[in-house]
Amino acid sequence: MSFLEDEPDLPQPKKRSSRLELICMCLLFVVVFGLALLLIPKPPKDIKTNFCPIAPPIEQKGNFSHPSVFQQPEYVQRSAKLLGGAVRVPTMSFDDMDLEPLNEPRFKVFKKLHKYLEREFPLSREFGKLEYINTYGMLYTFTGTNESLKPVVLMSHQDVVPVEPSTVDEWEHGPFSGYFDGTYLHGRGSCDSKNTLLAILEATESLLEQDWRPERTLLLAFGFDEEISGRRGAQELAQTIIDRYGPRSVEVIVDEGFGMIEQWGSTIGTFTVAEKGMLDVKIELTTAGGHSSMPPRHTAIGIMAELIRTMEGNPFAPGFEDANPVLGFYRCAAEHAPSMSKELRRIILDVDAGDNRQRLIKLIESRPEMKYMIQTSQAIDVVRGGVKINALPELVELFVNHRIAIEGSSASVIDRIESFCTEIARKHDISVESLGESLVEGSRGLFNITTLSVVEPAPISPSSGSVWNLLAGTSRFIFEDVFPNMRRHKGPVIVAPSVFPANTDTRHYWPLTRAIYRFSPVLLEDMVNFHTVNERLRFRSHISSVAWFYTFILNTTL
Amino acid sequence: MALSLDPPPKSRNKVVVAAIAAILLVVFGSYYAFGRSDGLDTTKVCVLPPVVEPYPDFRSSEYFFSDEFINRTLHVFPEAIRVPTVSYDDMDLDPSKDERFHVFAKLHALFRKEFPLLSKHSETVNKYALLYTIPGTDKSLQPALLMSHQDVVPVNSDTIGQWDHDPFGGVYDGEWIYGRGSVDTKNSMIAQLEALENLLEQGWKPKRTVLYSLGFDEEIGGPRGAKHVADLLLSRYGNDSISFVLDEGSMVEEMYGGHFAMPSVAEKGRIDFRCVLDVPGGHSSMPPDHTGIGIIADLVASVENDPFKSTLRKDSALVSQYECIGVHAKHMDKSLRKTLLNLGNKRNLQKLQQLIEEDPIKWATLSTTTAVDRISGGSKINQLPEEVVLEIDHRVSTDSSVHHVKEHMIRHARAIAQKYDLGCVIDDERVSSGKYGILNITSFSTLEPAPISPYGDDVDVWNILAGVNRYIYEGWHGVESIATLPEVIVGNTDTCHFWPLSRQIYRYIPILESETRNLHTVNEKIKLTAHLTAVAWYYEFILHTTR
Repeated sequence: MSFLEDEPDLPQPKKRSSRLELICMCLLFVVVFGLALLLIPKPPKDIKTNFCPIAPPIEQKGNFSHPSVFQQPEYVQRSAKLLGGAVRVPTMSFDDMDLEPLNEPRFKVFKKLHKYLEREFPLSREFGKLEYINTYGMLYTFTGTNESLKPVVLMSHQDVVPVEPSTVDEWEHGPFSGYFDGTYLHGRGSCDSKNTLLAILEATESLLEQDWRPERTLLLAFGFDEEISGRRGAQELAQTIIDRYGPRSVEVIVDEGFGMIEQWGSTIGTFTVAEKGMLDVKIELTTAGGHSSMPPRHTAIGIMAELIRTMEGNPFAPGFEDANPVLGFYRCAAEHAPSMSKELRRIILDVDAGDNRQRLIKLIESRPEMKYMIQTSQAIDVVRGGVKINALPELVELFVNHRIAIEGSSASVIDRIESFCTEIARKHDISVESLGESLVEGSRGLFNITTLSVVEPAPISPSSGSVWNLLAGTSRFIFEDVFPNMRRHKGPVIVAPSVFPANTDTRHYWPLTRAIYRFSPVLLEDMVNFHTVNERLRFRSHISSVAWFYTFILNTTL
Repeated sequence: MALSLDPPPKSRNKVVVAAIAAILLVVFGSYYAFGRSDGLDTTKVCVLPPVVEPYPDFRSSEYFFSDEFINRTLHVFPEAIRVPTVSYDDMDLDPSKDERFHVFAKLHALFRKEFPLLSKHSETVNKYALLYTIPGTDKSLQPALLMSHQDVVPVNSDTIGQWDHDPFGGVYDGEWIYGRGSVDTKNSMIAQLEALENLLEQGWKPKRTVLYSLGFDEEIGGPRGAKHVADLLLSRYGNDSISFVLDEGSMVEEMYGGHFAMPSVAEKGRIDFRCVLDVPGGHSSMPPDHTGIGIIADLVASVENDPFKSTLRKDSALVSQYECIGVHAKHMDKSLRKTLLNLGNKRNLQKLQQLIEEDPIKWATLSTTTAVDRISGGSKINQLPEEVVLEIDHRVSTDSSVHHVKEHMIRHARAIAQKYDLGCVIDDERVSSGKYGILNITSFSTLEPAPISPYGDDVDVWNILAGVNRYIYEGWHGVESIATLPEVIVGNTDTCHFWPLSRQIYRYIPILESETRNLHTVNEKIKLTAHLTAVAWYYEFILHTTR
C-alpha cells in the first residue's frame, strides 16, 4: 500500500492562444474580479486551522528499562533468531481449507509454531494463561489487578499467504528460510505478520522478566486464518472475548496495519481507523440454448457483456465527506508537513471553498493507488459461460468483487446492480431475480443476483481523544526519541488517520469497541515484497515494533 | 428415355445463356401477360415434375411396407442403434490410436451379416470408413455417390435418466424406434443399405457405377472418414468425376398445409475465432477501470452490435424456395401469398427480407451469423483476471466469404486494442501495438461456403429426385402433393470434403420431419413408417438414376 509519494500536478486551466480570446478573457476577468472584490471578503492568505493537533510524546510508564535496550546488538541477534524461527514454520492458509480445523490436515503444522512459541516465551505462556481457541487460535490473558478497567487487546495472526510453487526458485533465500543477513530478515510472513506477532510476545516476555504486573487486563489474540477470512480463528477468538467480558467491554484494539510513511518532508504514522466493506456478487444469466448455427442476435454471453459494459461504464461516484479519514489524513499532512505545496495545502485546508473539494477528489482519483480509498471499487474478476464452440451458451456466471467505500453500504451496491440488470433485462425480455425476490418478469431468460460474502464498511474509530493521544504520543516517543535515525525527516512525527481498502481480522471484533486501530510500528518502506517473492523485513523495523509494543503495553496497562 | 444426369460441360456456355434468356423471357412474358396483381404464373413456375414410373422388371416398392420386410428391418435397424458408435470431440486424428473407435468394427460385422451381397463390394478406408462400389455396365456414365455416416453424437450423462428407453437399446414401441442415431442418421444409413441389398438380391446390374460411402466421424468434422474417402475417389476417378452426390440432410416439411421436400443445394461456410486476452493481474481491491473481462465484454458488445447483413437476391435459392412455397401452399395468408408470388417486385422482396430478419432460424439461412459461445476468465473472486478466453462461431453466408468475416473481426479487434492500448495479433499477423496487454486471436474450423448445386426443372437429377418424392409420398404415403424446393443448410455434412468431385451435391433425407423427434437430444426417435418410406425412396431413386 502506498500513499501519494510525490506531489502530482494540480489540474491547470487550459491555455488559450487566440489574442482576441485573451483580450475578452482579460476584460471578463477584470469585470468579474472587480465584482467579486465588492461582493465577497478576500480570503486570508495563509489559512490557520487546527484539524489535527499534535499530541505530546509519552515516555514509558513505571520503573522499567528504557526501550532503547532493544537496540543493543545482543538483543537484535536474539530477536532475529526468534523471528527467524517463527518464519521457518510454514503456517500457510489456503482458500480451500475446511471450515472445521480438525478436518483440515494442513492446519497441523500450526502446532509446531505453538510449541515453538511456548518454548521461547515461557513467562508469557505461564502468566498469560495461554489458551487455544478452536484448536489453533491463541489467546493470552494477562489479568489486571483492577477489574474495573476495560482490557486492551493486541492482535496479530499466525498464518501466511501461500508460496506459489512455481516461484520457489526465485526466492534468494528460500521462502521459509527465516534468514537474517544483518539488515533484512527473509521469508514469507516476515512482513505479514509474524513480525508483529513476535514483537508483541517479545515485549510481554521482556516486561515479565522485569516483574510487570498489569493493572489493566491485556489480551493477546492471534488468529490462524486471517488471509482466508478469519472465520475459524478471529471470529472464534472474538466470540470468546465477548462471552467473557461482554460487548463494548474493550478499551482499545491494535492489529496489524500500515506503518510510518515519509512524505512532504515529514514522517507520518498512519493509524487505520476505517476499513472499506466488501461485497462479492454472483450474477447468473440463464437463457435457452440451441445450436450455434442459428443464434439469436445476442447470446447469453452477449447480454452479459452488455451488463458488464454498463457496469464498467458507470463507475461508483467517490465519497468524500468531512468524516472521511482520507480527508483527515490530508488535513494532518497539510497542517504539519513542511514541504507540501502552498496550493495543495490551501485546497485541503479550505476544502469547502469554491470547487476545492472537487479538485481534491480529482487529484485523488488521478492516483490509482489512492482512488479507491474514497470510492467503491468494482472488479469483475471471474466469468464463465458456455461449454462448446458449436453450442449456444445456456448459463453465464459473473463474479464481481466490490470494496465498499466507507460512505456506502452493501445495500446501495446491490441496488445499483439491480438497476443495471433491470435495464438490460427489459431490453431483452429477461426476468430478474435478486436475493430471492422477483423484480422483472420476462420470457427469454433469467438474471439471478446473489451475494456470496458481505462485510459492511467498518465503523470509524475516533481520531482524537485520550486513546488516540496515547497511540500518537507513544509513536512520537518511539520514532522521535528512541529511533531518531530510522527516518529521513526531522520534526515531529505526524499521526494521522487512514483507510484500509481491505479487511484484517478486526472485522470480527467490532462489537467489542469503537477504538480499533490497524497499525504496525514499522517504516512502511522497510516491508519489502509483501505477499510475493522475496518477502523481507528490514530488521530495524522489527526492533522498533518491539519497542513500541513494550511502551504501549506499559502505557495502557499501568 | 435418353437421360443424362451429368452436369452440362462448361463448353455449353452458349446453351446455358440461351436457356437463361429463355427463362427470363418466360418469366417476364408471364409477368406482363398476367399483370402485377396476379404475379407469377403458377402454372409455369415451380411446376411439379412428372411422377416417376416404376420399373416393371423390379419388385414394386410396395414390398417395403409389407410385414415380411418390416420384420426384417425391425431386426436390423434397432441392432445398428445398439452399437454405440459415438464420436467425441477430443478423439485422436488417427483412428487406430483411439480405442473408442474399436466399436465401429462391431457395426461392420453386423453389415457383413445382414447385407451379404452388398458386402462383396465393400472396402474399408482409413480403418473404419466403408466404401461400396457397384460397377456400372456403361463406363461412359459418371458414377453416382450416395453417402451417410456411421457415427452418432454422444449421450449427455446428465440427461441419461430423462430417456424413456435406453439411448442405445434400439427399442421399438409399436410406433417409434428409440435411440441415439435413430434420426441422425442410422435411419438413412440402414435404409440405403436395405435398398441396395434388395436391388442386388434381384440381380440388379446398374448402368451407372454406384458408390456408397459411410464415414465414421461426420459429427466431428469428417477428417478421418469422409476426407479419406474423398481423397481416394479423387485419385481413382479424378476431379468433377461424379455425376451427383446424395448425402443426409434436410427433410420433408409440412408448411401452410402443403408438403415440401427441401434438399439442400448450399451449405454455409464457417470461421471460428478464439480470442485470448492477457492483461496484468493484481489484487482486486485496486482494480483498473476495466478488468480483462470488461475489455473482452466490450469486444463482444461491439461485435454483436455490428451484425452481418445479407440482402435477399432475386436469383437466389432462397427466393425460389419462397416462391415455390407461395405457389404450393394450401393455407396461406393472402397478403403473404401475394408477397411470395410477386418477389420480382423490389418492395415485396424487402418485405420478405424483413420477415426473414425477424426469425433467427430463417435469418441464419440468409446471412452470416455471429454466436458468442464460450467465455472464461479469472480464477478467484478477489483477484483481477489475468487471462480471458472468448470463442466466437461464425457461419458464413453463401454470398460472403471467410475472408470477409475475418476482416470484420480484425476491424473490431483493432478498435478495441487501440481503445485499451493492447497489442493485437490475428493469426500471427500483428494488427495493432500496445503496452497494456496482448489480445491474441486465432481462427479455426475455417470452411468457405459450399458451391451452390444446380436445382430446378432443367436439372435432370433434380427432376428425378422430385419425381421420386411424388411417387413415394403421393403413391404410398397418402400425401396429396409434394413439391421439391432448394434449401440452404446452416451446418455442414460430410459433403464438404467432396466439392472437387461433383458440382451436383444434395443433402436430403426422404422422411417427414414430423415423423422424427429430438434430433441430437433426449429421446431421439423415429416412426417406423418414416424408416420404411426412406427405404422405398432410396430404392426408387437408385433405380431411376442408375439404370
